[in-house]
Order: sequence, then C-alpha cells, then structure tokens
Amino acid sequence: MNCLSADLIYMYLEEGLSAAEKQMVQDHLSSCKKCQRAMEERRLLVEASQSLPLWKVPADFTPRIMARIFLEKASPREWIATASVGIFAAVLAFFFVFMLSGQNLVTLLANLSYTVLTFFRNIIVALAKSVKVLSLAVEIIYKFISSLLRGLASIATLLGPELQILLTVGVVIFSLLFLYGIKRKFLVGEKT
Amino acid sequence: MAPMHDDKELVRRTLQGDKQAFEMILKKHQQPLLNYVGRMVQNRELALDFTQDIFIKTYYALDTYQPRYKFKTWLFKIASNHIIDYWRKKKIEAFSINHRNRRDSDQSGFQIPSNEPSTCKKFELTDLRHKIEQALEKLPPSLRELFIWRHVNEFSYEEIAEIKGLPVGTVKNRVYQSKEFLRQFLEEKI
Repeated sequence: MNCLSADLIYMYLEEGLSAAEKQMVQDHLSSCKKCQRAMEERRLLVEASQSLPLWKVPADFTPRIMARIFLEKASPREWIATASVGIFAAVLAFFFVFMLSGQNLVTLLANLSYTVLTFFRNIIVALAKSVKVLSLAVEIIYKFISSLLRGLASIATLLGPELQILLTVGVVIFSLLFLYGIKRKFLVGEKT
Repeated sequence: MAPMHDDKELVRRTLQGDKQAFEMILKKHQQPLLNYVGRMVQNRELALDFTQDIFIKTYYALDTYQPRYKFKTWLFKIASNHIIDYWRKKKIEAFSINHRNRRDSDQSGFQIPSNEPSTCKKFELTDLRHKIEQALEKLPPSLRELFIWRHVNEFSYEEIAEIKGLPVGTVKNRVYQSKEFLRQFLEEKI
C-alpha cells in the first residue's frame, strides 16, 4: 500500500472512515514509520487546536447587551424626580449668574426673557422657511410625475393593445425584481 | 414537548416578551461566539463590540427565525455576515474564497513528503497552542472561519455546511486545507 495521504489521516483522526478503511490505515501504520510520524504530527495539531484558550467574556457582558436591547422605561416617580432636579439646577444656575453679573434682578430677568423670545422667534422663522421649501419640493415632484404619466399615456396610444399588455407585464416584472433586490439587500440574518 | 432550555423554546419565549429567555440565549452562546469573532478580527475590543452587535441584530431578527433550522447555525450565519460586511467596508479582500480554494476538487494534491519532520512534536502543548494562534492570523479568513468552527467551536461538518450554504464535501476539503496550511506554517517557523 502507498503511504497515507494527509486527508486520509485527518479522516482517520476524526473517525470519518469505515471499519475496513480504518483497519487498512492501522495495518499500514504498523509497518510505516513515516506515516506514524505524520499521524502523530496531525493528531497533535488537532488536539492543540481543540484546546485553544477561550476569549474571556467580561462579567458585565450579558447585562450590557440586555441594557442595550431593553432600555428600561422610567416610572412616573422617576420622571418627577428627574424633572425636579432639573428645575432646581436651573434656578440655582440662574441665581449663580445673577450674583456673578452684579446686575439688578429686574434687568437680568428682562435680558433673559428677551433672549428666550429671540430664540423662539428665530425658530418660528426657520420652521416657516422649511415648510415653504418642503411644499415647493412636493409641487415639483407632483408636476414631474404628472408629466411622466402624460408622456406614458401618449406613448400608449401609439402602441397596439398587445404591445400595451406586454409593456405592462414587463414593468410589473421589473418592479417585482427591483423590490426583491431591495429586500435581499436589507435582509438581516439571511436564513440558511 | 421541548425542554425549557432548548434554543427554539427560548426563542419562542423571547418572542412572547420573556426577557429572561433571551438572557439565557446570550449566556449560552456568548462564549463560542466570542471565541469565533475574536479569532476572526484579532482585536479584543472590536470582538466584544461585534459580539454585542451580532446579538442585538439577532434579537431584532428573531421573528424571522425559522425553527426548522438550528438556532446555533442561524446565529453564526448572522455573525459571519456581520464580519464579511466589516471586511467589505474596510475594503479588505478577505472572503473572496474562489481564487484561494482552487483545490476544492483536488484533495489528492497533499501527499506526505518523505522524511517529513515532526513539527508539532517539537513544541510543548502550550507553546503549540500559541504557535497555532499566530498561524491562524496568517490563514486566509475564509479558511480561518471554517477551521475555527470545526476545531475551536467543534461544529459538525453538516452544521458548517448549513451556516455557509456549501456542500459538506466542500467544507471538509476547506477545513482540511486550513489544517495543512497551519501545519506548513508551523513547519516554516521552526
């Protein structure tokens, strides 16, 4: 018998041979030093691979993942407590600024209200402009789609009924393939 | 009736809102998953982040899990895809296996050379493990992945074939190639 091939040795080590094949390998091994060495070599490799050190999992690993998935919802009591602390901190900060600025309280309040009013006025202007831009975009898209549909209708009148059906079927198939492609692209954890 | 700690049962309970069931899934699979991800990306912090991300992806995809498949193979397929995406984003050609695995149909190509030195015997077991870890870094990721599943995670060839969607014979051959690659690498290192 020829010397054992490496894949035969691995199959022997992983108990992947039939009884007859196993016997044949053992018979050969009993009389071939070279194959005995090769067998020992690969046995050590496989054994060492199967006992490689584990990557240590941190103690807080599971709680961290659980916290990321199940963000705990705060109870009403916790909300009230948080809000109270926030308000208290804001009042404290206000008096701190008041003491540092050396202004009189009425002037400071007036300045503060002016700042707040200006902020809200700017926000309202920005919102109004955004609404205007959005409505213009909707109008443009609407006109584009209308023109496209009118163009398609004009083309359809030039075609015979068979061609119209063929065109419709083609468009439907293309759309389905497109949707299928999108689905595959975004599918998370494709099934085996 | 399915045992209480069976993966499929745990998935069913998780889908019904049982958080503890998902926690049990995590505890059961985090070690083998980290062993795999860690050796694939070779960076502890990245491996921990990826393992977390994979579990989170898995959680949000649980309603698409089909119980006729093993949960373990489904989880590791998500993990494998996650790592492939990472390589792709880094534009590293790591999982293009076609050109590397020319020998899928040529197992007989590896014959034992005459007077082959007994490489592994020259190392103590601890030392050998260390050398294997080093050699794994040099192994092409497409082969490394299969080697880890087979010899570190101790998956069956059938399970690996299910994860990768490859024929069992192809998987066996690639695992075999990976072992010979490692052995030859160790031999050259002496």
